[in-house]
Amino acid sequence: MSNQYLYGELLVKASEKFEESVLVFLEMLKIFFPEGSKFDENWIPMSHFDLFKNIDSSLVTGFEGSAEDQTSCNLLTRVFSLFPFNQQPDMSLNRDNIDMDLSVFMTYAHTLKSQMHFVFETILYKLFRSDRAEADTKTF
Amino acid sequence: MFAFTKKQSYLLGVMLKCVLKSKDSDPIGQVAREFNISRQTLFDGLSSGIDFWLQCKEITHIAQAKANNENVTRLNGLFEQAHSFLKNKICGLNEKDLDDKFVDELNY
Repeated sequence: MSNQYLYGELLVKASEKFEESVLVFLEMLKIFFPEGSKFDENWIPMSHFDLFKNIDSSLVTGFEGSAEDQTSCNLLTRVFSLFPFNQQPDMSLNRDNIDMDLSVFMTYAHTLKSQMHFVFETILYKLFRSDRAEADTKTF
Repeated sequence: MFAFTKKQSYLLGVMLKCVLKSKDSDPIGQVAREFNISRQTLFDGLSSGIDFWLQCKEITHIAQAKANNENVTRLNGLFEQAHSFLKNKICGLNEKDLDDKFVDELNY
């Protein structure tokens, strides 16, 4: 049996500048993938769904085109959203720039990041407590 | 690991959607003006975003080769469909440096 794990192999192949974003992307692939389908009541708590629909209809969020193009647009913008773009000091955001699809998607992404942060901290803590702080990837 | 604490933004996705939707003759310039950033800043952001997209697309290829199952196959198909869509849109911008990303995509 191969000792190589798919997850590790994919991460090793990632460019250094994309490491963090690729980690989140891989984590998303494990539980769901940013396939581009529109978020519905299965993804959003019912208590928020009516609000979501109202906001969604009042703001410019959609992409006009075929269903396939809309799915592609959602998938592309979700993946692009995982790549950090530092906000410029003079950057202006207005009401039309709020995008509910990406807001919901990034809520999931940020939750994953927080959970991964917690997991990494726990691993570090256990390594130090067990005096294995010098462990390398082979003995980890 | 500590990079996870950095504040990041989903703005690149929002701006990409604006570029894809724009009917302006210069979508990048128009969106840059709308967000009050320089055209070059947005151009660089999109350029990095395309690199990241190609990386993710390659990951789905590897995942399919290694773990061939229905979900991964479906994901791969969606990525291919979205990739064609992006390629057409980017080629429509007449930005050679961005077009070249797709010429060099086999390097990923």
